[in-house]
Parts: sequence; structure tokens; C-alpha cells
Amino acid sequence: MKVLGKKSLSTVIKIFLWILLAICLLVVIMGGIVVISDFSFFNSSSTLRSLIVLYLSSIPAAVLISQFIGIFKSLENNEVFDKKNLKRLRTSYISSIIMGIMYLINSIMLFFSPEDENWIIIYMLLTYIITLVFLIFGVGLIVLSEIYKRAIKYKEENDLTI
Amino acid sequence: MAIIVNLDVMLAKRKMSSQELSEKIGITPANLSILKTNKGKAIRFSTLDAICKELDCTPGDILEYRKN
Repeated sequence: MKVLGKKSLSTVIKIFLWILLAICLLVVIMGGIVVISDFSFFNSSSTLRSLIVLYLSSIPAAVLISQFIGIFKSLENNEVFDKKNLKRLRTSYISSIIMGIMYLINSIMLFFSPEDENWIIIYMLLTYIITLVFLIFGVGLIVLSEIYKRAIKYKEENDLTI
Repeated sequence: MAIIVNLDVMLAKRKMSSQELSEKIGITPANLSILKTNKGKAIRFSTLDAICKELDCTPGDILEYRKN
């Protein structure tokens, strides 16, 4: 399946990324209102804390997605090996690790929650999985950005070989 | 860099312009300018061969090693 060019997935990917960004921004806007409001559903302190984490993690998520949109645009414009993209990858891994750390703090705090144990254990496991996913993704992006850095260096050398 | 390209000196000796040389050896004037201004990272043997052929010189006349 082609990712770029005619009859490719590029339009679908672009729409998908923009929808994700819109969801993140919506969570940023709506999350604040929900957290501030005193709903009876959120009386449990662990639920409220998780909601705050979800709300706060939507900010680095929005940053992460906007970086991916930028990388995809440069891919379409054939300016892949650009220092701007290296910066975008760096911002992406920082955002991903921040999200991982947020969920890690939340999962550690859940461990000490004196609330309904059955529910907490399932939720804790899910939070640990999310934490691991973001941390692994962040580390993967660190490796990718280093590869990218070398690729840019080789490209520059190639461009300056007459 | 310790390697200096003395292409401008050779061009002056042969009374040839950069434009003329670039046309004769088949590289763009922009690339020749990179070479002349010592901004290049490497030079292909084929390019060096073409330059030497056109300017009737040896690689030593074009390239010079200067200790930093």
C-alpha cells in the first residue's frame, strides 16, 4: 500500500492526524471544565486524579500529533532530511516521555488508593500498559532521531561531494 | 579544513572563467563555486580528472595540504 502520491493513504493519514489533533484540543478545552465542575461521578479521588492526568496528558499529545503533521507535510513536500524534522522528532520523544511519566505517577499513586480494590487493580494494569507504551514509544523516537541526525549528516556530505 | 582547493589560481593561470570550466566539465556553476570556496566535503575522482584534463594540470596543482 502506497503512503504518498496518487491512490495512496496520504489523505486518510492527514485526515486521521487532524482528527486526533482536534480530539486532543477538545480534551484540553473540555477537560478543564469537567475537572473544575463538581460531578458526583468524580467524587472518588483516584477517578478525579486520573481525569486530571488524562486532561494534562492531552497537552503533550496535541504537541506530539502536531509534530507528526509537520513531519508528514515535509514528507509530502520532499524535504525529508531537514533539520526542522530532527527538531520535530526531538519534541515528539520529549512529549511521549512526559506522557509516560504522567501515567507512571498516576499508576504509582493508584497503588496506594484505599478504594474498591477489584476496580483499582484492573485500572492499575491498564495504566501500567499505557505508561509502558508511551515510554517505549519515547525511547524508540530517541533512537529514530539519532538515526535521522546521522542521515542528515550523510546527506549534507553527499550534497557537498562535487 | 587542511586541504585547500586552488582552483581559482589555476583558472587565472589558464585565463578561463568559472562558467566556461563548469560548462566544459559538465558540473553546475553552483557546485564549482562550492569547490572554489573550499566549502566542499569531498571531490570525486571523475570531477578531478575532468578538471585536470581541461586545465592541463595535475591534482597537486589544484589541491594543497596546509597544516592547521
